[in-house]
Amino acid sequence: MIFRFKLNPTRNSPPSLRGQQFRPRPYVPIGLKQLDGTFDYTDYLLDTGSDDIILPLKCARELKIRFHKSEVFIHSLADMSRMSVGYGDVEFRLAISPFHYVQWRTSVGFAPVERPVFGWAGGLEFFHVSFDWMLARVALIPLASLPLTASAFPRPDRSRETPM
Amino acid sequence: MEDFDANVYIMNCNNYPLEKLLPFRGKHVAWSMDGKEIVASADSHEELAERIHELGRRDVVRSYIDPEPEIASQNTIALDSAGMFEMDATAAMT
Repeated sequence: MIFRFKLNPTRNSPPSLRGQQFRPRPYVPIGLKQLDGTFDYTDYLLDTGSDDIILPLKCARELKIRFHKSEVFIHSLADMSRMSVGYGDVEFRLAISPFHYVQWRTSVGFAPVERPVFGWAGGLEFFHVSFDWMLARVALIPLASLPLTASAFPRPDRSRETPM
Repeated sequence: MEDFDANVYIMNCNNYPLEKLLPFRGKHVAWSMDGKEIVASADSHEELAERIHELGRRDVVRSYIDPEPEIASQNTIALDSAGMFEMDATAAMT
């Protein structure tokens, strides 16, 4: 599954962009299964520096997830601040088209954040991930370890193959 | 949502005119599933969820539009006695 990067346009281009008027970012729309069985899509930043997948607390409320004491941890962040993270199970759907998707259930963290991040545990760990900054796209290839709940893959077009 | 194509969505978001995007800088937004229009915006993730609920729409992709980086004033960076750059973080933030 190959996703284009989202391009964030900027007028005040810092020197690091060498004149480029946009920042490429690996945001991927991922569906979060709701109580009625439908999927709500949100852009997740693929973040190899994040240990976990972290969703805003609001998502836990929408999914009626309640945290027990043993499921709440206090983590240190990059700026040395500390944040409480409650853990609960959700189901994701990563789709490139209606005919090509994977769904899996996993444990994620919920925290007082405004934007979700898609980190390692329960997320990137289940994919071979290849970032290509030149082509501004990321390849996510599901691994056998992905705990699938549903999937669909396009059938290869064999009509052009020469019979043996 | 049946015919959602992630790359069509991303491509259309990327082609969204900068001038039309400016009012949404620093906002949480809900894109249409084809990425061609912004159907709702709010200052927080929670407010956006309420707006989407009010609109009665489920066929959206929630996202965030980064604010434009601001160029700090000339006074915020100076050389210290050792010839190293020192930054007045407070000034740079304002």
